[in-house]
Amino acid sequence: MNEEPRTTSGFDVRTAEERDRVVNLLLMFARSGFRLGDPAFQRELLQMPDLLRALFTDALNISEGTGSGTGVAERCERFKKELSSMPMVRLEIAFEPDDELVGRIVAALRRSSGRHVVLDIAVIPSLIGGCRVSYEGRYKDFSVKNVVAEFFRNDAGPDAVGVRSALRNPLSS
Amino acid sequence: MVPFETFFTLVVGSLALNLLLAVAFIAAGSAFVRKVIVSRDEAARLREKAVREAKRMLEDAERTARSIREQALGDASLLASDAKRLCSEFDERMNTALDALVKEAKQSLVRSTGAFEETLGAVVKERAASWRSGIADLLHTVEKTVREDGEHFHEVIDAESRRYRESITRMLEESKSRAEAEVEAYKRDAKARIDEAAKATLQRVAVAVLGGAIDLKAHESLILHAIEDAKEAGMFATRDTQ
Repeated sequence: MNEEPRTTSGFDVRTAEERDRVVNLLLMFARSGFRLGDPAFQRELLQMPDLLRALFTDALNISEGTGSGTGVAERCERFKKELSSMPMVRLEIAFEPDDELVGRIVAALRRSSGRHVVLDIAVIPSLIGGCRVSYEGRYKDFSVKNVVAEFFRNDAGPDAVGVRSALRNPLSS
Repeated sequence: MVPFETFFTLVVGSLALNLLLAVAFIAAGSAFVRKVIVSRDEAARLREKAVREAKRMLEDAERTARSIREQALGDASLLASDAKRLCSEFDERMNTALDALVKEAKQSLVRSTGAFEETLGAVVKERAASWRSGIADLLHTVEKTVREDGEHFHEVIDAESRRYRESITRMLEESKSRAEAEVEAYKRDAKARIDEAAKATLQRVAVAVLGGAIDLKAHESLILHAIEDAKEAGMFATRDTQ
């Protein structure tokens, strides 16, 4: 499955942080009685990035500055459940990625897994390069730090799964 | 009609009887009065007599008591002087008896001491003779035993010496082996530590070199390749297909 799947609402979040913000916003929206004019909800909504805010309002079929639309509560609940059920991949990398790279990583993960995953990203500079991947209880270390450690552990060079290929292209190019 | 003589007789008899009665009555009354007067005087007299008698008896009693007291005082004085004299005599006699007793006891003690010294000397002499004899016997026995044991002494000494030599040789060999093993272990441990330190140093150098050599593009490529490798390693496979 190389097609990138999407949510039924058409709304997409890429990272766990974005998902938590949207879920929090949905909870606030519910607490306000699904009134867009609620000051706390408006304040939170305005703090979201423009793209995310637009996606959010589109997904719920509501317009900013207006009252709640028909069936908003049901759509909110369905939306929240959908977000909560999205599988998560944790990625530990050595540097702070920009937004574009996050998009490319998420796209690669969704292609590889065939699922609409969200990315939980953590920056650990001591990894040097590469990454550590955790997904549904599985864990693999593809970091350069591990490559170096394996090299000195085995006295015979790196032989961990994927280590050669991890080092092959980027460092030789 | 009553004859005059009779009448007369009756009248005279009556008169005489009345007279007699009157006389008797008067006599009785005077006797009674007299008796009363006499009784009052007698009572006064008797009372005076009793008072006098009592005074006299009291004086006699006082006199007697004084006499008795004086007599008693005299007797007591006599008794006291007698007691004092007797005590003095008793003390004197007791001192004399005690002096004699002490003198006799001293003499007896001197006699007893002389006898004890004689007895003790005899006992000591006897015991000394007995001990000398016992010690001589004992020395003789020891000499005999030493002489008898001395014949085996060299054999025992030789056996013990051999045993100690063997034991010491064994201990030395064990110590040498242990020391050699410890030296070898130390060498291995030191080599391992040196290797570990060298590896750590090389690792730090490699990390520093690699960390500086990897640019953003290389980082991205590493991550994307890692995701591919993770897929190849089956990390994203469902549980059922694994």
